[in-house]
Amino acid sequence: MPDSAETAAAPLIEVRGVTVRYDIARTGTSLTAVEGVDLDIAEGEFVTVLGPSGCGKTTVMNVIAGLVKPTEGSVTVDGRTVTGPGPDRAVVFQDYALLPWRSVFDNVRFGLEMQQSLNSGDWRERVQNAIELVGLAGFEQSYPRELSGGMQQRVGLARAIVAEPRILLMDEPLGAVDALTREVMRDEIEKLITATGKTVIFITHSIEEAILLGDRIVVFKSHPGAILEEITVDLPRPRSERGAQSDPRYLELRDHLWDVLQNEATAASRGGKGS
Amino acid sequence: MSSLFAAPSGLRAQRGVAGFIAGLSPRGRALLIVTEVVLLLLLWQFLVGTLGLVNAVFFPPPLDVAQGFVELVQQGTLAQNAAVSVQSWLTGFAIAVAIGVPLGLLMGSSVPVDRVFGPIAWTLYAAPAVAYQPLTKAWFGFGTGPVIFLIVISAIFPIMLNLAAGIRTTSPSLIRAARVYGGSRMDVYRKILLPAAVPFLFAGLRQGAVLATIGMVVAELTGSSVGMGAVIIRSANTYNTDQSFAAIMLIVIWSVSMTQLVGLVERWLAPWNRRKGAAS
Amino acid sequence: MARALEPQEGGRLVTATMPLKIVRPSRSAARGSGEGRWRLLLAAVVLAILLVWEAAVSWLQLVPAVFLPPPTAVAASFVELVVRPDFWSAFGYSLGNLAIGVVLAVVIGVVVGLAVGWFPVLRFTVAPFLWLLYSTPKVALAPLIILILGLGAASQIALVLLLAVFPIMLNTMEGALTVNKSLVNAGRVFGANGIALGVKVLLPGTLPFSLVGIQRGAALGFTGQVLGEFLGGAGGLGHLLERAAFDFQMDDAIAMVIVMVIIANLTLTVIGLLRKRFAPWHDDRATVKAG
Ligand SMILES: Nc1ncnc2c1ncn2[C@@H]1O[C@H](COP(=O)(O)OP(=O)(O)OP(=O)(O)O)[C@@H](O)[C@H]1O
Ligand SMILES: [Mg+2]
Repeated sequence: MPDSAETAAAPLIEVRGVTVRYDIARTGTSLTAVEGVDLDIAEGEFVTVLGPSGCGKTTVMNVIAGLVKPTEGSVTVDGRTVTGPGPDRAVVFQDYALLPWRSVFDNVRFGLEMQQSLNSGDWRERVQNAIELVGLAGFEQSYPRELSGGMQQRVGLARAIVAEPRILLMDEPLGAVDALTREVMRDEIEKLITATGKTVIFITHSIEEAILLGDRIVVFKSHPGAILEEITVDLPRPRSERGAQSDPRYLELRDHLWDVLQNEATAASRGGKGS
Repeated sequence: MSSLFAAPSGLRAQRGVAGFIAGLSPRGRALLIVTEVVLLLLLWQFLVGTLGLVNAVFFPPPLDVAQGFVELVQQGTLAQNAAVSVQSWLTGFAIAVAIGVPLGLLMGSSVPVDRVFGPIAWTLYAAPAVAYQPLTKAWFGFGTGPVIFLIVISAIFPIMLNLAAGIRTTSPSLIRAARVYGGSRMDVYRKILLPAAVPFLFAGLRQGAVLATIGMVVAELTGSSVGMGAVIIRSANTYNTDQSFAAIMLIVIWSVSMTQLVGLVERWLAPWNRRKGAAS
Repeated sequence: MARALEPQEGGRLVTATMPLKIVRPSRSAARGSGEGRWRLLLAAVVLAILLVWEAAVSWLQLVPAVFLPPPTAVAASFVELVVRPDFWSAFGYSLGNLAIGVVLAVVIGVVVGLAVGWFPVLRFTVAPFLWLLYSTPKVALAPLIILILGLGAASQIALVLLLAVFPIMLNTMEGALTVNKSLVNAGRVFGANGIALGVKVLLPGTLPFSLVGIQRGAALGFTGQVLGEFLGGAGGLGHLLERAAFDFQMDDAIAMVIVMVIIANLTLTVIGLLRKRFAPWHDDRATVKAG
């Protein structure tokens, strides 16, 4: 990251006035998933995203990934407008989205094979390195259905980092993983990301996860989805849950986020019933 | 009836015979089934063959059926007619695959084709293939033409419709993953949609194999002078029901072998998708 | 979700006769506004096919009309057919036999299916046989049934019963097994017992499975009825059809086939509606995914 100081001036990702409306064909109406989202993310920043269910977090991430075209507004990455998926952005999906007919090795290779020529020599090594980095050495030939949820998500992570993208988009990557594995993987992700200096957007439903991982927390509201609040987390790294428990700033942050989300949830349910 | 509702087995450890069987290894269970079959055959032989409880013409006992089999072999009837049936079956099934697979791919990947062709296919598939039989007899005469036609008509729809459904129901998140990692439309088709549809294709083939056999038997029973179906009709009409039963047994063996074969090919081509349970 | 689309996943809601069922992509997945457009296109394509057919036979005379009468001739025959009294008596005869056979199959299939699904002893000893019988081409027994029961309604009903009973039986069995495992536990937790357990949990839990089986069974039963008439020709629709084809009245024959296609589709639709009415919660896709 020698040039991070220079690029810090201009943000790597600029989300400008993004509004997404889905057409609901059944009723012939349209639904505004998110409205007027503005967000700047600097190179090397780890941004966590919190918000009630259905507030449009995934939608915004899909717009950045290039999977969804915004109805209004635009996203630029490194100054170039996003028109589709690109090799600079990789996604870790909540439901893993591994190909069941491929072994772990071939699933990780999938992150490489369609954007870079495989006969460029060292691809085997890179795949192998990514697998080792997520701690799955020895499982190269296993099929996804033979792995636990946590292991499957590690494959998803290896697939995302194998092509060395600048930006990692993670949509509740630990959502389907049990509590213990979740904690272990959270710490591993922190280590991995700080070691490689990637820019990360990380969606989660867990307040603790958001604080422990994020340099900055973006809180969404719903009806329609929009950014409610942005909070910079100035806790020292590496952060561990146990260490943080005794840090008054961590507790303060946690209580604040708790209140904000609580308010938002009750407001949303009242608003939802009213309309 | 009340005892039916009384003791749900899931609630407690199974006792008695059921508990014993549940504890058996797969091989032990297979052995149990084989024992049951042997006992049933013995009982049948005893009741019909020895005691003469039922007219042996209607339910020829196992030994008579074996005798009938030997007769069929010795007369040369079997070799000749089985060859005709197997040839019709393989030809018909091959044609069904050759037409059904491309059509299924087309239906699965093109919305207009699916919307227009789908309802027509479903409508034809709902009607029993046997209804088309008299037409084909009038069109193709009394040879193997109508037999092959009926096999094709019976097998083609499950192959086509399953394959189309497989492509159409591929998880959108797999498609998204392919796009994120730089997949073109062609990549999505080749690397996601096709492999994802493989299990559906094989489900269709298995189903098609069963229906093809039914179609073959129906066609041969109702309008053919050769083939295993014709053997059954002829021997039944002359009260040689032992020969009919022998022929039926062979058809059953053929049908089961073909579905097993499809399963084997699937396990070989799609090892990631090992099936649990043996039901075909 | 990715794995949910593999049709062979074990342990989920499995319908016994799965290999004989296909996922029909649900309508709601389609774009609603486009639906009308597709229907129009479908009608246009069908019309075009009929036009080409008519042109090939009547105008260009590429095919002799004796072999393949043009759609107009078939339509004329169809209209003639539905005012003929002997058509309606044949119709009544065939559908009457079919109904009796299917009702018998439902009674036997549901009772046996429930019993085998419920009692572990039967499940381990009898169920494998039922599976074996299910997957064998039982149509081959038709000549023997006619030999035993003679030409006429009895052998046709028996054939309908024989073909229809297995899908019903095995689906019911599979349904009872599913209920057995999870729902009964839940029912007990909420205090249902004995008959109440049966009425509130077992029956509704099994019903969707049985209805899937009945739908399949009715289709197979129709095959049985028609085959029975072909082989042992008393007066029924199949008999009428065979005679028309034998006399080379191809317009009549094709009209008869169309009648059968309509009957088959109507039967399936009616049972499909019953399934929607009595088991709207049953996710058809869930059953198909599993097998
Ligand atoms: N393809 C789509 N078509 C129509 N509506 C959609 C579509 N995708 C999302 N929506 C709607 O947009 C809104 C936002 O969805 P989104 O998936 O972005 O929410 P989310 O914040 O990621 O929720 P969760 O936390 O539950 O994952 C929801 O109301 C959802 O119903
Ligand atoms: Mg989401």
